[in-house]
Amino acid sequence: MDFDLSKENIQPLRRGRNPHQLEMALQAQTNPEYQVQLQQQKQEFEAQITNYQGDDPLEKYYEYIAWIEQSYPKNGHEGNCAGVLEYCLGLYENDPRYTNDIRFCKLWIKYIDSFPNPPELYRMMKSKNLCTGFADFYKAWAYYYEAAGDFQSAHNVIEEGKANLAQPYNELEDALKHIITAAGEHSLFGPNENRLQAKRQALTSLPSYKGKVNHVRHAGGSQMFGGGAIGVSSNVQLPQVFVDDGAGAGLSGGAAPVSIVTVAKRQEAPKENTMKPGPWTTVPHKKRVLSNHKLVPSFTLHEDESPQKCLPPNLPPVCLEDYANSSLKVALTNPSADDERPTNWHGYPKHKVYMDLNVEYSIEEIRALRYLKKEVQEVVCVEEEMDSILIEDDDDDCIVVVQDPPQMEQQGMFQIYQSPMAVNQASTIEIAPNHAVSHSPWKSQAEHQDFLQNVFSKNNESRLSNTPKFVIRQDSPAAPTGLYNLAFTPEASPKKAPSTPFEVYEQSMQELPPLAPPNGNAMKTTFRTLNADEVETGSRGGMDGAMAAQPIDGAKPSAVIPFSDSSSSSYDDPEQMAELLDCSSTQQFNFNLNAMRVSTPQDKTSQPMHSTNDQLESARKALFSKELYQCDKKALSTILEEKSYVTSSSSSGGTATKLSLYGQPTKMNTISEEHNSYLEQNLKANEELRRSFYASVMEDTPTPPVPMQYTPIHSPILNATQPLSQVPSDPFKAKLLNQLLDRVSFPGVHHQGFVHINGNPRLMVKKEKEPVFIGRDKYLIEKVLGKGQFGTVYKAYNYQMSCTVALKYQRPPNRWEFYICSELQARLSEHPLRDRFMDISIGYFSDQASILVSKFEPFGSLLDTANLIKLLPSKDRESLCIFFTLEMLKIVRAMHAAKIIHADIKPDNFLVMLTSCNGLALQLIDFGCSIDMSLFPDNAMFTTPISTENFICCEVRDGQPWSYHTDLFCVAASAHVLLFHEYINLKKCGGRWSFTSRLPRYTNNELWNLFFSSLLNQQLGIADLATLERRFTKELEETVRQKDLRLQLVSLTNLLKKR
Amino acid sequence: MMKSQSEYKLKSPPDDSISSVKFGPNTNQFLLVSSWDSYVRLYDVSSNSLRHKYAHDNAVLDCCFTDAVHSYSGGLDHTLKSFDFNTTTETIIGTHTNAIKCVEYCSELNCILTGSWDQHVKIWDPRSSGASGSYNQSEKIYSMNTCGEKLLVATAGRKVFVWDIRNMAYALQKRETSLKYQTRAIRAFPNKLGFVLSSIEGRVAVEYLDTNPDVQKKKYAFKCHRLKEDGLEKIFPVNAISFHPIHNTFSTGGSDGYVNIWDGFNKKRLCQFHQYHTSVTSLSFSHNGSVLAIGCSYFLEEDNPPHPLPEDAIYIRSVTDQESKPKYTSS
Repeated sequence: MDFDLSKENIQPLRRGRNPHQLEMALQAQTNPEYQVQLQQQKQEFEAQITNYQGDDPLEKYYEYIAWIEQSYPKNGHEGNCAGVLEYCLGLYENDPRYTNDIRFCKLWIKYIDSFPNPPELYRMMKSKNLCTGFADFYKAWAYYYEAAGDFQSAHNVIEEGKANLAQPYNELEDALKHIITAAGEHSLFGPNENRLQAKRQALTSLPSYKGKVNHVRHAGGSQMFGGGAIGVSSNVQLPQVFVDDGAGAGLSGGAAPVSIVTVAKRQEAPKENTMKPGPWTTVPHKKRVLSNHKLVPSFTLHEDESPQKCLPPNLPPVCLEDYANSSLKVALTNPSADDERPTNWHGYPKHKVYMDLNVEYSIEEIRALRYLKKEVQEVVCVEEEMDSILIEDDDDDCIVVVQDPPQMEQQGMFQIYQSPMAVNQASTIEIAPNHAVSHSPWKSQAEHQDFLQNVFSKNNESRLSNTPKFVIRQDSPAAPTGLYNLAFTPEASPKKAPSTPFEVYEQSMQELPPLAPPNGNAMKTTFRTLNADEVETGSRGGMDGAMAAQPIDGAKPSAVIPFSDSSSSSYDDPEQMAELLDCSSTQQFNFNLNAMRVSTPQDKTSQPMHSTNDQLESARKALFSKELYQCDKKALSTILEEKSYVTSSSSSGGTATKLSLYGQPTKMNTISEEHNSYLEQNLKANEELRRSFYASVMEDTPTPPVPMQYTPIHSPILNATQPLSQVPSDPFKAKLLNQLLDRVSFPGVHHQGFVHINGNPRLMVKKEKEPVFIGRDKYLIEKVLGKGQFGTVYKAYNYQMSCTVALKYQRPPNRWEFYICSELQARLSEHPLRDRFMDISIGYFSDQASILVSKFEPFGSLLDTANLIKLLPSKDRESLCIFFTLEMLKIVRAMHAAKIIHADIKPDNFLVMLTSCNGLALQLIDFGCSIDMSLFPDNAMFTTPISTENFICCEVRDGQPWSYHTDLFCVAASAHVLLFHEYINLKKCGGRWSFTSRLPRYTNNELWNLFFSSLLNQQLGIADLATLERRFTKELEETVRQKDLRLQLVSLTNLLKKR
Repeated sequence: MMKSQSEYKLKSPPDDSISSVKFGPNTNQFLLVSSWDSYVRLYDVSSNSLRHKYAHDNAVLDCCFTDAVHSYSGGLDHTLKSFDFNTTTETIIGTHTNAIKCVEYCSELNCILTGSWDQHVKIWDPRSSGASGSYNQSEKIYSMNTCGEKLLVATAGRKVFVWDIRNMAYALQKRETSLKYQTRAIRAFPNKLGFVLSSIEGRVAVEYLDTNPDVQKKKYAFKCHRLKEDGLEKIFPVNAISFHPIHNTFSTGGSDGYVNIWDGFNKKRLCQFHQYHTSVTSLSFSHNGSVLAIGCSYFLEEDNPPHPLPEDAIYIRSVTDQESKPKYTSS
């Protein structure tokens, strides 16, 4: 049987198919005999319809349609089912007999199902009141809503049917329940296609009503339907439901449609001509098809990049990277020591690129400087024009070594300064204080480094501590004018006081035009800042004038007798200074002070006649005199000290320092925020010191916070080694150091090599071999050896001694280092290792800077050597490491025996030097932050943390107090650098510190482990250096080692000598 | 050596030193040039004419194309500007707190990256205003290059950072260069395997991004751009590197006025051009590597510069495969 062949072409019917009919239908497709039979039956039906005369013509139609359904299982065109249906419905649509006929209703349902928008047609039927009494009608209507997922509308339809009491009523109730369940299921599981399919078939198939009107069973609601319907026909598609909630009336414009069939047909009508919505341009055009060539524009079209590539939305706005531990050197090799072969020539300004050990500049930056400078200069020019004071920037080569060597003739001074003309101009500015802005000739002569720092604003601190400030601002007329009046025309002061500054200037010029230049210039050079904003204008009556007059009055004769080396006269200075302090601002004071320092007034006639401060004055004088007569030198230095304090506090441009020493000690310093801690500290220290100076006379002076009693006057016997009674927590405080220095009445016994100079010698490496004077001594600065936080080290040639020396330039002056070095040399005078410590042959000290002169070691530091050792084969390094470690141990032991803690031991601070017997040795340098333990009680411990990176000893890490520990730890850390070529990394396990690096297998692990473990773990006491030293010595004495070491030392020496 | 026919000088060059030359992304036609005379210029190389120029307030240190008609530039005025050559409108995108030294475009992420002497890298999204992020590099930035979605940053203190631009919170790698002296330029291989660094003292290093020790072993450095003249060794900064986009070879330009092309993977010099009249400050291969732009300006910054200063010039040179293709394929 070929049923199987064609079963997919049989549309399942709700009530099943008559097998006989089906077989005939199927046979008919292939068998013409059956076909004829079918045709005969069809004609029979049609004849019946045509000949029907009864009152129920629909009956015949219904049978006929049902027959077609059965006989043409494909539901195709051959049966013309749709055509018959349409004809039949159109015929009886308006027949009142069938308005409520279940067969008619079924036919409608079947008919409407074939249209795309059934609910519309149903609504129309409803409005025509056609078949509205049947539950099937509502169920079918609701079905389409349900299929579209619009359960609400479906529910409404059924409810409407219930309201119309459609029959059978219980079916409607069931349908309602089904819809509710279906809605639930739909929302839970999504649309159930099978159920909908079954339901649709049930609704659209035509049951056979043999004469009586009844209904067939309906679709099983939400139940799956399999049974009679074989498979699922793919012919039936889900209808496209057009949901229009508006009234059905708007279906067709114009006249309301009469026939549902016509409406349905109208819906159907455009079917054949369907055009899908879309761009009309895509419709193939005949012309387009014909023209085959592609259009290429003559220009390239820019197409925007598709923006799909883009940054992630959660881009972190900042970087969380921590650079605290990154310490990289600017250049691997020390530019000053290495690669300076004379045969090398560099195609870039190397001295500018590597100006500093820790800072570098790219060529672009150096060039940028020029560009930015250009701008600045333009601005300056404009300003200058506005002020109608134009000063030539003519002292590019101005040597800034300012000094007053007693034997120096005036001629020499003139050589150092610029032409008298420029000088005149300089003094002009001084004397015309009311000009809003006036530029000193130094304005644009900014030292290169200063400029770089300004431009790149690398660190504001250094900018502040490097004092050059070039703008003189004096726009507070009252006090300064008075001052100048008095200064230059003392006899006319009462009258001239209110006069304009310009007059004053002229007058002064009249009075001393030829004499002024050198004097004024000297003044000019030494003082730095006159900041009008901070000039104290508060007048103190007659006192002001009188006292202000003195120093400048003194300056006037000083033009005639410019220099004096009398210590007694220099002793006068601070006194007058102090008076000035009382009445004027620090700036003014500074000004006058500087004037005086150069001119050093001789006339004691200008001794002050004061009203209120007489007593104090005399007391203080007594104090000074006493000191003075104790030791000439000492007194001098004390006074100098005082000077330097004042200058250092006032030289800091931004400070508003109001010092009132005698009267109002509470009205002390106001320190502007921009101050760096150092200056602040310095200021406080000064204040402290000054207070203590007058502690004897000022009852209400607050006691210094330092836990020790300060006695301003010491006998020379006392100050030697009397320790403090209490240990300060921070042994590095500038204040403390100054106190200690005073305590030992520095320079005192250390006067050997202590040279006091004036001004701020500016050391610069110059291309043209031009000597520089420091004090009376002539030096040729050759190059910068290194630059650190506190100063710069230069290589220089000393003409007097005809030798190359190292100059350590520090600013502010570091007297402490000088003290420690001379102490060390003294304490170790008999020690064989005495030459292993830096010996300062001369120390130049001014109020602003200090220069320490020591022997130049050409081999550089241990760090350079470490970098050299790195180049050796790794096996050969150990002997050298042992050798240098032993050296360090010996040196540190000797130093500790002398009760000095270096506190900044690191490879950079050991110099490698050649001994007399052509061997290598180390020398410890840089005692800038050392501690003299002899000044503290026995077993003193400190708590302040040390901040040298990578050299923070374990005690500090543990928060323990420390003393000698730090040096020993640093020796270990330095040895680590030698051995591993990297800084030590520490770890702590089980309460013991150890380092993370791995010792290579060929090294003497026992020795090194002992060394490191004992130096890293000194919690219970200071490590036994003697034992370690013995172990190292023993190791080196082994024959294998000895031989190896000798070899290595020779090769290293050769390397160092660059052979 | 005679100047070859395949080379010509651009007309109307900048009035001051050339800081950067950059070819457009998809064509040999357009060249962007930034200069210390505070202008950025767009040249039509094929017609040898100046198409556009726009000004900054001070010297321009770097510029880049983002697409054929948009450029970004920054310099001593601390400002990042963009310019649309179609509409000739310029826009100020944002600022750094110090001069902008590098301007790079990352086509993978469609963003602009700027590196400044204020030690920060900033990311700019052309579609949004303001910087999308600002990332501290702890040192002044001297050179930058993108490598896919990675960013290479060379700073003062001889540091090199490798970042993932999509997550700049932490650096992928922090390195110290293998060169002893200041880094002048850093450029990534087009195949993204590694990068090339040049130093201020006549050396070039080839390094690999893969941190695997076996790969790292392959890194090396070599001397170049040095002239030996009667016993005196003149060492010059290597100012510029530019990669051939296809062959993974690169050209270097030094203050000695020479341009070399190197095969980094095979450690070979492929060719050396004739000596230019003054320092080579910038190089740029075009998108297909057929043309090399050479920016020449006096850049020795001597204390006593020659008078008159050598003229600033941009040479356009067509590069043959013979000059730029590795001679041996790496096995």
